[in-house]
Amino acid sequence: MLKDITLGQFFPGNSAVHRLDPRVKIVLTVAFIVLLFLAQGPVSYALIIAFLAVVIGISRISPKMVLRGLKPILFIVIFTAVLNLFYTPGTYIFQWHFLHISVEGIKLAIFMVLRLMLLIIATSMLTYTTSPIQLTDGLERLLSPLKKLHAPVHELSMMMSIALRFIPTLIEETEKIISAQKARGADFDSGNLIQRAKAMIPILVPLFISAFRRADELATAMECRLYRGDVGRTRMRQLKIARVDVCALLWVAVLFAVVIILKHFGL
Amino acid sequence: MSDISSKTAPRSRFSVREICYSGLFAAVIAIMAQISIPMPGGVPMTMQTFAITLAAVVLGAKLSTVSSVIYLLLGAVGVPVLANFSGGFDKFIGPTGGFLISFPLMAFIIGWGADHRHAFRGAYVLALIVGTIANYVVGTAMFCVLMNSSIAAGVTACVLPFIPTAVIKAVLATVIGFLVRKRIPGLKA
Repeated sequence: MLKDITLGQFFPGNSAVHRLDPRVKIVLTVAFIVLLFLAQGPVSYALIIAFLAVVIGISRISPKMVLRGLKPILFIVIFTAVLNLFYTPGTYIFQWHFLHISVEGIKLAIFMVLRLMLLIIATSMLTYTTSPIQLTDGLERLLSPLKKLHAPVHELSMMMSIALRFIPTLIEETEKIISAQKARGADFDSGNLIQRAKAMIPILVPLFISAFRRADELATAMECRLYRGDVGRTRMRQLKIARVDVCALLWVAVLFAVVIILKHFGL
Repeated sequence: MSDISSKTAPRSRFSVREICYSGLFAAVIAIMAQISIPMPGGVPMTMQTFAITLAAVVLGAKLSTVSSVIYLLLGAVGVPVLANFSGGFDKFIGPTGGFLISFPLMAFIIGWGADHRHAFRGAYVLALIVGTIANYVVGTAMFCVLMNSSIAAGVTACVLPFIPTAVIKAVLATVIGFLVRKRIPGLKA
């Protein structure tokens, strides 16, 4: 059960999309999100959908996995689309008591659903093709200009790496605590609300105290190994921009320009 | 000579211990967010907001805010640490993203209340209520904007069903939080 947590949403592969520098992928994903809110007409959306389909094809991620990311929000999207459909004023093509459907309502509902779905698919592609460690690295490098403004970029990156490393360890610890308490007669599955809530205490208190102990030990070990922030540090993993990264950037830049032009013509 | 140069190096705003605390507790929040208690007839009580509140009480304003930021950053890069083993940047720009984005604010307010609970009678309780309300306000606001719905619809969908479990989680987090604080040598009880 809790063991699933470390599997993540990363699908290993060796496609061109997987090999892109994580910094480039993050920038391109953000640009794509901006693009979705710039687009207004059906031609722009058709181009965006075609581009996304090509990216999915290159990455060889199963379309089934891509669509699975949409399932959690399906109900909420349909619900709101229907609301927009029936409550948008405009040229009515259907009317029955207080319900009416207008051309503007149909258009609004379709574009809203489309935008939301494309948004989720595009951002899912980022996490499907990039491992968390790569993304952490990429984020730190992208945010490093903020160091000039005294933002603790390296420290945040270090904290993320520590958290990533210790999630499996603490999961194991949690399961040990649960087993130990059960062996001593604790019952987590029955009783009323108050009893269930109270049953959480013998799990949570040891878990927190254990985390504090681990943090103290880790801090001592790091200081003994002369860790002193990022000043003067070198890096074992290096990120490099390759030709494939330049190609990807150019492709998205072209798409961006085309969508802006189409917006100007209202298409 | 090297000793002199190391002394003049710029100091980080986090000590090594604080970095380790924040990292470890981001992991703790990630694990607790997956625990779910089925409720009799209704919305299951997930431990995600409970974990944020508990971290705020135990760690205080600064470290709990940072821990929740780390937790959200992990979720954003695709680690399945959000509720129901989900993750990915899309969770933040979807209809329920506002609740996640306001976790650091919630942690800061409640943590500040825990740090200054002796300022006046009821200081902590006030901070707890304000922090929880802030979470719902931001979450509902983003829901309404993104889904183009009215405030009434947003409140009906996002707030009303969760009020009972929110109260229970707040009380439980308070009890456990101050219990844990007493047992940690480094923290003043």
